[in-house]
Amino acid sequence: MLLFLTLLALIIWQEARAAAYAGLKISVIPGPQCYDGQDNDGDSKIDYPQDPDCDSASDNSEAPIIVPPPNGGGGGGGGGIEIIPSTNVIFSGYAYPYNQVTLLKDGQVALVSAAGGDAHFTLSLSGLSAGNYNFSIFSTDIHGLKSDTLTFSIYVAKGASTNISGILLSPTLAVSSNMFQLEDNITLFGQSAPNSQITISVHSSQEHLFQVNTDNTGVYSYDFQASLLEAGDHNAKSKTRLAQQLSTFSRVVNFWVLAPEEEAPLEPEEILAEGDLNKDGRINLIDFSILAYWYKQVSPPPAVDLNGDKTVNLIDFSILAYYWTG
Amino acid sequence: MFKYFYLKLFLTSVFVFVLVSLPAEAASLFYNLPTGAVSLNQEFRVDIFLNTEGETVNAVAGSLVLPENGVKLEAISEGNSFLSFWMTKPELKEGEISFAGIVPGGFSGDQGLLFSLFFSAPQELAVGLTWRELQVLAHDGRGTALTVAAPPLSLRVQDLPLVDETSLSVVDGDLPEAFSVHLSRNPLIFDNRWFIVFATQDKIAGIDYYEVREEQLLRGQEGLGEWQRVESPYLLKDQNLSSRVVVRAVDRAGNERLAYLEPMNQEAIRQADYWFWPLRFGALIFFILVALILFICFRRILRK
Repeated sequence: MLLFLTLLALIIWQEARAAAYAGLKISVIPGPQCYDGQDNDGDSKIDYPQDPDCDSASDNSEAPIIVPPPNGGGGGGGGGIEIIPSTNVIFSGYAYPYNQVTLLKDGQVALVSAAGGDAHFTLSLSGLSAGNYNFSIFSTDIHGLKSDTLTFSIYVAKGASTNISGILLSPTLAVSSNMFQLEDNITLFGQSAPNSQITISVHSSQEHLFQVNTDNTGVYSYDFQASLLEAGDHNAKSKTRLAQQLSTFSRVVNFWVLAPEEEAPLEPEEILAEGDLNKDGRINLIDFSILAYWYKQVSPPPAVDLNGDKTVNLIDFSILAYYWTG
Repeated sequence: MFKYFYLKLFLTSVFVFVLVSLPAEAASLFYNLPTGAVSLNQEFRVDIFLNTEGETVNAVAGSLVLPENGVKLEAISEGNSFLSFWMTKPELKEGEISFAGIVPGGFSGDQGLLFSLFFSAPQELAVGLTWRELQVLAHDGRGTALTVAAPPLSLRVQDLPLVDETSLSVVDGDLPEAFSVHLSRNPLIFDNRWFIVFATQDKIAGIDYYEVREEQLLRGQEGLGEWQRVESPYLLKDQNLSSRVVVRAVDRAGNERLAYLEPMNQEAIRQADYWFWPLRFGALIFFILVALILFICFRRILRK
């Protein structure tokens, strides 16, 4: 029985992971043979100009040219500007209307572009080298709340055009307060693509699921009585469904429902610093460099010790990498 | 009915205990080794990969212990690694190849290249290189440590005639990727003095080193400065910020990419420009006057 339940849980987990990326499409248009970094014809010569069978970098065949027997006439031809095929990656999908979408390439901001009124965005990055890349995409909504960061670890082939479409960023989520009395109203709100369906999951001893639709600007809000939940700490997260696309979950928000006559706890729950060491509102290479300066040093300043264990070690860097904004 | 109750209870408890004790998350290392036999003094390449087994990870560190005799490390390449930023670039120190790096946003995959090693051996050997203090942390905002299966890296070199003397040196015609230089200062480091940070990647050969040159632009003090091999963060010598800072990233194939930081203190440059000619002219007049006075005094002394 236990084995069955374990297997069932595993299957559900796998399904949930698959569902999290429902709608995502990745297509690759390979580059021309004479600019793809491959020995396509097996003559140990790769690409133009090393392979003499290539006329130019945009020639799509490394195979030897078979010259037909002459039948008179012909001639002509000439030079021209050589076109080097571009290695590029194109991302498209939905974020939040008119808000900025940021694309990180290996942790550094590569492109920032605004989504349209329908929340659709397209980000195109060209001039890349062939290799493994970690691309991350996130957006910030009208409330200044950040989406969950969506990361794609992909191999970009030389001369190829890689198209990743069907991206649906997670909705943003915030709660009206972090402390509620039982008679209070709790408001959960955020933003996503316009006219999409939001599922809010509130975790306490049992899970509560609420559904709400976003308006024309992508904004949503859901009110419910705190007495619906038992006293104690709770967390909430939300996800979006837009047509056949399903997003990942938003960032988790935490709040507390107080028992009758219970006073607000003096000691807040352990809060980990996010790593914005220079307080510029971003977590990027500068913060990494400050943290790296103190890596494994004795007696680091408390400000750089993100998890409060009195040392700057790999865990602090992991926290920094989690909250990274580029 | 209750005849085997305690036995069943015991077995169920054991099963549950085993199930709970099993690591919920795990990652594993594996290696891409030469397919054929390796001869004496033949250079061979070993790629070290991480399989995250479905988890998303964002920080990895550890040390690979090399045997004292036998194997010679020819080169290390972290080009094309899934780790984007290094606290410790993989390097050989005191018989261990230590490394630590992060991947912002996390990485999930079954074939994440950590780095590549190039070895050779002058004598026969069959060794298993072991890992020390290997850490793989989850991308969960808390740095939860995942269990890692890290089998020894088995190297075998045989006393065979060297058939293939082809060098494994990486062919890399691409420059390191374009990058930016960021200026900052913070009370947490360098006593709040100005410093720069920079980082780039080379997907084929990997970055070998960085150099910095501070080009002084103040009129009258102009100078290109010397190239200096540095690491990020780099404390600027010119705290007046009147220099153009040039950072040169060089990959392991010798290709280089330059990035510039224009002087932030344009006012100082303007002021220096403004006073340059009046000061020069004033100094000239002063020297002429002094020379004239000395000449007159000298003549009077001679007349007397």
